[in-house]
Order: sequence, then structure tokens, then C-alpha cells
Amino acid sequence: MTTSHSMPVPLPASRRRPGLRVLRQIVRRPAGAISLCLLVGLVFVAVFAPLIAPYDPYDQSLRDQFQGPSSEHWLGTDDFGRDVLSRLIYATRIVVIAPVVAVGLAVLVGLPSGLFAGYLRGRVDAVLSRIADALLSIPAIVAAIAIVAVLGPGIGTTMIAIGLVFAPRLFRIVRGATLSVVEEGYIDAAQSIGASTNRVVWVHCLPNVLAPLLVQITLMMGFALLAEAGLSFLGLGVQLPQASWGSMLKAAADQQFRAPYAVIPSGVCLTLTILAFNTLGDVVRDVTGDRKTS
Amino acid sequence: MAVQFGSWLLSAVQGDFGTSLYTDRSVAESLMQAAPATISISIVAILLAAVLGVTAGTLAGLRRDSWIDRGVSLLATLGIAMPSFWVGLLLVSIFSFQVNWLPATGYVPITEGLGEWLRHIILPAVALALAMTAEIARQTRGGVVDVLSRPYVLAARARGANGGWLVRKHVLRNSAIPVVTVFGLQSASLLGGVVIIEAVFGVSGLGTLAITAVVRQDYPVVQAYVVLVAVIVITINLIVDVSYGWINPKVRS
Repeated sequence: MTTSHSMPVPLPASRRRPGLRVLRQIVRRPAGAISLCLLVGLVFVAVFAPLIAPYDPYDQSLRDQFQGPSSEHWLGTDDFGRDVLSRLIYATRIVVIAPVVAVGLAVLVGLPSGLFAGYLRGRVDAVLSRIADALLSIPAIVAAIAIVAVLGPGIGTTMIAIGLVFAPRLFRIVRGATLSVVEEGYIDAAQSIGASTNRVVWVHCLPNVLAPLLVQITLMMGFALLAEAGLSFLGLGVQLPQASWGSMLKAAADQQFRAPYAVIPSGVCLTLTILAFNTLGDVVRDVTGDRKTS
Repeated sequence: MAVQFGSWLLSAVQGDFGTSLYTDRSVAESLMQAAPATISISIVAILLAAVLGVTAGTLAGLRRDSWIDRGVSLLATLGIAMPSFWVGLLLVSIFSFQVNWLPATGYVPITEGLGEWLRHIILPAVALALAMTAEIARQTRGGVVDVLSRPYVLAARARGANGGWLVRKHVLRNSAIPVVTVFGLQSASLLGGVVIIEAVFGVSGLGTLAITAVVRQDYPVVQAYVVLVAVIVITINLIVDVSYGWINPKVRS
């Protein structure tokens, strides 16, 4: 937990590259630098998986079932004699893609609806907010399960389900941030010189909700990964023979009485990655001086 | 379609969710049969989380920057990041396979003895409670630290109030509202987490029923399950809202 409450960062003279500035401030903090390194490392591993993995992750060898760690198989083998390390490495592809697609979908739905609800208020806001309230009365996992029930199991539908479940949560954050921006003078100014609704929303409101949005996106990545792992654990997400850390945990769980330590590698990977997303989210919140979403 | 929905809604409020497409059993009956296991685990987990979370958070907040505070913060950060189902698997590894104290799977109704019931329930409940405990501890710590810096606490101290009385009368009551909010939110998400925990511990509760129904495309069961969970969540929200007034009389008007 990052307890240091930094003051909102004063804007430096050059405001051309605010993204770069935020990045520089994230890296300057040890917690931010470490978690960012870990996540960038994951992307690297995912991209170069075939070069890094010592074995084919789908290569079965029933004679080599449940081997402990050795110099040949650093993390041992699983129930089909497949190399656990190679499977972990290939699974990072799901880890990288799943949260990005899910959160991307949530942004696609939640951002425009939140901006317009906050800016237009009135009837549009009332309708959208009631829909969000209704969707939020169902716990995330339960709602995702219901959506998978309609669309059918699989990693694609799971990502869609998670994205749709997160959309109303993102909507609320964006709407709240927009509501507080609308009162600002420059919005009035833009309206008075005849800017269209679209222009005011995208050019004048959007930049001001980016900070809470960024915090929320980072935190949601962690939740999305957790949800994907959970649904894959339940057998609704990734389908065999493809591997995700969640489905590997499930395979290990089924054989737990024979190989009690098999649950450790994928669990540790999951925890570290989620920890990295959460820590990064806290750091981004501190750096951007945004405390509304806490 | 509107008519279909209308007639489904009408029978649903009367407790009739139709029959399962797969087993030909009444959906309401299946839910009733699966509910006790889920409810037992959830309630024990919620109680554990509330008691442990508030205790740890208060201790950490009162002794700010001490080793207790740092330990609680570290545990809370880990508790939030560790997937509950992985914690469950680790607990099974330790308590069922290494030392063989507790059963790894199954559920025993409370009618067959309190001890057996608790023995089957404690591991899933602990795994499920971890994240909620961590969130409640964080929120309680924040609230306590905030209240301790207020002038009225200084005034109470000046009048000679100290120890337990100060904590109970001034600190806890004034830091309770955000904690209760988190309690409500977390209880709701716990109802989602219990689905996965049931799978880990082989408990045939509501979650298992729902997952089986999803795989079999048994829509009436999924539908009834989602409605049931939503009703529980809305009830929790209502209780939380009412409790605001009870905690802080200023909210009542």
C-alpha cells in the first residue's frame, strides 16, 4: 500500500507531452519502477515465448508425469508430462491479451456513455445511470458467468463478458469525473463560442477525466486478469490444450493429492502480476494527484 | 417477448422459477437444496472478515507506523493480490495433505453436528474471507488515522479519556461509515468469489449448480441463480444504507 499522499504535481512549463511526464514520475518511484518492469517483462516474454520456452508447451509425455523440479524441467512436469515452465511462458500470451481486450471493451462502452451522461445530464444521464445501477447489483463474477452462459464458454467470450461487466463500473467513474468538470469556466467558454456538443465532450471534457480513467484502467487490468483466471479455473475460459495460469491451477488442483506442490508456480505468477497492476494503479493515483477514485 | 418476460416475472415473484431443462426438477427446489452450503460458507467468511479486518485495522491505525501497522499493510496488500482460489488450494495442501487435520472437500449440513460442519467449512471460509479482510483492514486503518487527527479526539483526551473508552466511543463510531460501505461492497463481491471457492473445495452449493447449468446451457437455472444473487446484494445494500442512520444519527435527517 502506498500511503504517501503526494501533493498534486505542479504542471511544468512544457505541457506538450503529459503522458511522458506521468511516465517519468511513475518510474521515479521504486514501487512504480518495479511493477512497470515486471509488466513490461511479461509482454516481452509473451512476444518471444517460442524463443524463451525450453520445450513445446503441448508436447505430452506420459512417462514423465509429475516430475519434481530438475535441471531438465526447472519447474517439473504436469499431469500429461508437459513442461510446466514452457506452459507458464506460453500462458503469458493470454495474460497479456485477455486484460487488454477486456478493459479495452469496457473503455469503448464506458467512456463515451460516461462522458455524455456527465455532460448532458438530464434524461440521458438518468437512463444510463439506472442501467448501470441494475448491472452493478450483480457481483462481477456472477454477471460474467451469466454472459458466458449466453455466449458459450471460451477465452474470447470470457474476455467479452469481463469487458461488459466492467463497463458500468468505468461508466460511473467517467460520469463522476465529467460532472465535476462541467462546472468549469472553460466549458462555458467553449459553449459560448458555439462549439458542438461532440467537440466540447471530446476536446474539452475528455482530457480532464484522463487521470481517473488511467488509474481505473490500471486497477481493472488486475481485476480482469483475476476474473480470467477464475473463469478459466472453472473451465469456462481458456479451453484445452491452450494454457492460462487459471486453467493450469485447475489442472494442478485436480491432481493435488499426487503432486501437492504443482499449485505453486502458476499461483505465484498470478499473485505477482496482480500485485504489479495494483501497485502501479496506486502509484498512478499518487502521481496524477487523483484521489476521487480511491 | 415482453409477454414471456411478464409471465416469467409473475411466477418468479411467487417462487416459481420453472423447471430445469436438463434434470426436469423444479429450479426452486434445486436452489433450496444447494443454498445451505453456500450460505454457511459466505456467512462464516463475512463474520471472519468483519472481526479480523476491523481488529487488525484498528490496531494498525492506533499504532501508526509501528511494526503492527507495517505488518497489517503488507498482509493487506498481499491479501488483495492473492486469488482466493489459490489461497484455498494452498490451505488444502497444508491442512489436508501435509498435516491431515481438516477435510479437503465436501460439505456437511449443520444438522449433522456443529463440529463436523465447522471442520468442513473453515478452510473455504478462510480462503474466501482473505480479500475482504484485507479491504476492511485498509479502510478501518485509514478511518482510525483520520479520526485520531480530529480536534474532538484531542478534546476528549484533554478531558482525560483514554484507552478503550476513547476508542469505542469516539474513534470507532466516527470511522465506521466508510468501513460499512466497504463491508457492503465486499460482501457482494464475496458472493461471486464463493462460486470459485466451491469448485476448489468440491462443495455442491449454488455456484456449482450455476456453473453446471452454464455448461449444460440450462437457462432457467442460470436465470434464477442470477436473480437470487441480485436480490441478496440489493438486500445487503439496503441493510448498509439503514445502518448509516444507526451509526451516525446526523445522517437520519
